[in-house]
Amino acid sequence: MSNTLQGIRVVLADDHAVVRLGFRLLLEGAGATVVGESCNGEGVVKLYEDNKPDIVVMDVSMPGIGGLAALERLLNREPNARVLMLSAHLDDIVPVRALKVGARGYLCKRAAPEEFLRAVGVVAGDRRYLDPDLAQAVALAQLSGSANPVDTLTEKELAVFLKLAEGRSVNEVAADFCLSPSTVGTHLYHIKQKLNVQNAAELTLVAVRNGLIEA
Amino acid sequence: MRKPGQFSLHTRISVVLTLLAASLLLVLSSLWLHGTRASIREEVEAATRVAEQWLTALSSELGSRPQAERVIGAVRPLGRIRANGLEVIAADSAVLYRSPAPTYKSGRVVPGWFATLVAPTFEPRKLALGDLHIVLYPDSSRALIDAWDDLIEMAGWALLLLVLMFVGIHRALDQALRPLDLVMRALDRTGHGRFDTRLPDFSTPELDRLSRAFNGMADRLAAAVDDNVRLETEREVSQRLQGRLEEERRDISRELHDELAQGITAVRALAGAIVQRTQEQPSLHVPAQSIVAVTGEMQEGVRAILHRLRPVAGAGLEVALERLLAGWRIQHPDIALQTEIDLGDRPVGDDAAQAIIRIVQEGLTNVVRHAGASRVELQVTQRTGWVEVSLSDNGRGLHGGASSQPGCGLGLAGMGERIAALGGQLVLDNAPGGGLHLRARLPERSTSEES
Repeated sequence: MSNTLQGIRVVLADDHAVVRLGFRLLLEGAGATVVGESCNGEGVVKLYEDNKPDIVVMDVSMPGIGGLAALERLLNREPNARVLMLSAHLDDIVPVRALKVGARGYLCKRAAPEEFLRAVGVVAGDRRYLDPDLAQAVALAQLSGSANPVDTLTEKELAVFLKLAEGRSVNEVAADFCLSPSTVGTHLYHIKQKLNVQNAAELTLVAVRNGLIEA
Repeated sequence: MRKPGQFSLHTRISVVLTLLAASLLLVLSSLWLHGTRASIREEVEAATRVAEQWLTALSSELGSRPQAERVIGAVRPLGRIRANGLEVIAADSAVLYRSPAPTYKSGRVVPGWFATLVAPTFEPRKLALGDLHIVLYPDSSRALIDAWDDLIEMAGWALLLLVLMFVGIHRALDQALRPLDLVMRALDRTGHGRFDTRLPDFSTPELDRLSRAFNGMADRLAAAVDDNVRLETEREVSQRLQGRLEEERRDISRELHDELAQGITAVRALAGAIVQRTQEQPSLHVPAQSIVAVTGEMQEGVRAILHRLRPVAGAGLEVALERLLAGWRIQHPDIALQTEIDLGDRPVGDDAAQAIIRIVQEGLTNVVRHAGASRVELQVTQRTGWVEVSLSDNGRGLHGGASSQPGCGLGLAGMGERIAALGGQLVLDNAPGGGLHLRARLPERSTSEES
């Protein structure tokens, strides 16, 4: 049993309980301690404040405000938090977003267990980590500039956009983010303007085509 | 339908025919007038001649210088001599005697125009009898009255004849042209979209031909409309099928992603944890390592399936194609794939992009399944509003048992329908060097996407 992560304290956020269990066992096997687990983004901030972990490992897509918004919220309060984002998707938009917002690392969930542990080690050591499978797409996305209208969305708008694209209503999204429905409505208005879409179905289509959600 | 002030065809034809008959009658009547004029002249001439002879005979009876009273006494009982007026004039030009007015149809005169047309002119005949003169005035007025009466009677009959003729022609035409009304109504109904309208057989050959031509036209029209409806229905059905298919794909994607992929991630992490903890127990360590490896492959598999299922955005067509081709090359290293992708600056419509990806997918799948080819050439080019896909291999081509194999053809047929729905065409034929040549051409964006 290697102890490469000896003494590292981890907060885990993933809505899939068995996935959390697997990651926890992996981390513990490598000598790390999982000090807190959350099945949604909202719980992460409190867990962080309570435990002050060395690293937060968080899935991008979770119920509630989701990973990206939770990341933003956490970094607003704790700018020094080291966060490794996990995603099941292979697109370039979400990783670029997450890295811009301030995540230290981004890893695909299908990576091998060793790669997962390595990524955790890198980010816990306050260095940056980007999944090799994503590196090219992210680099290309940076080079091609803002050809994609989704890039013009602000962080908040993107978070709202992702939730709406998943089929949640304005009121539900407002509840998720603790915003007033009219604020979410304003975001929605800007989103529609920027993406040039008319309705929820088209919104979802844009998200699907950009690989932001699986349809 | 009939403009005001316009007579119907029947009336116009009847009028023309009646006028023709009337002018014929006019010619006949002018001939009759001519004849009448000649016969009146002859009749009066003859009467005058007889009267003259008779007077000559009388004068020789009365001697060379008769007294006026004797002469008058001789002529008075005669009255008028055969349509001749008679005067006895003295040497001083005094009229001693004038015969009375005619009693036949007395008091009647013919219209002046008729008299000028028909009446012959005669010189009065004078006969000297001593100092006296007897003057004969030939008078055709009674003959004229007879002729006039004849003319009036004939004109009456002629008028009656013309009226009867007009009515008769009108009736006959009415009868003969009645089908025209039917034809008119049938055309009207057809014009309003009632393509089931048909005309009956008519007894008039011309109209019967018209009727048959009309019915033939209506049959073809109805068939064309049926064809259109059928095509429209087929298109709708295929579009619905396509929609259902995409929906199904989305459902499968979601399930694969949410359930299967997460599950595999969990198993992989758990297996990884077992690997960590079983360094000293090879009987557990090795199988756990295998689980890690296999779940990795499973994830790759899921990822590949998700990629296949994911709708392609038009702007990402080139990237999507390259991904697809790269994956295919890895899976089939034994087949040489030559590609030439030349997409213009204008983005391809989303529908077209998806269709192109599916065409290439299906085409390549087909090559692997049925062609037995070792070399494949793919060209995707965008020019002047169209995207063209050309895929050729050096395999078995169209002939050979390929179509009997399950799965073949169906994919290509579905593709053809999809391409047609987007306004494009799909052509399959044999490549010049053997093997199959697939060519698809579709508009870079479908009309429904234009907005």
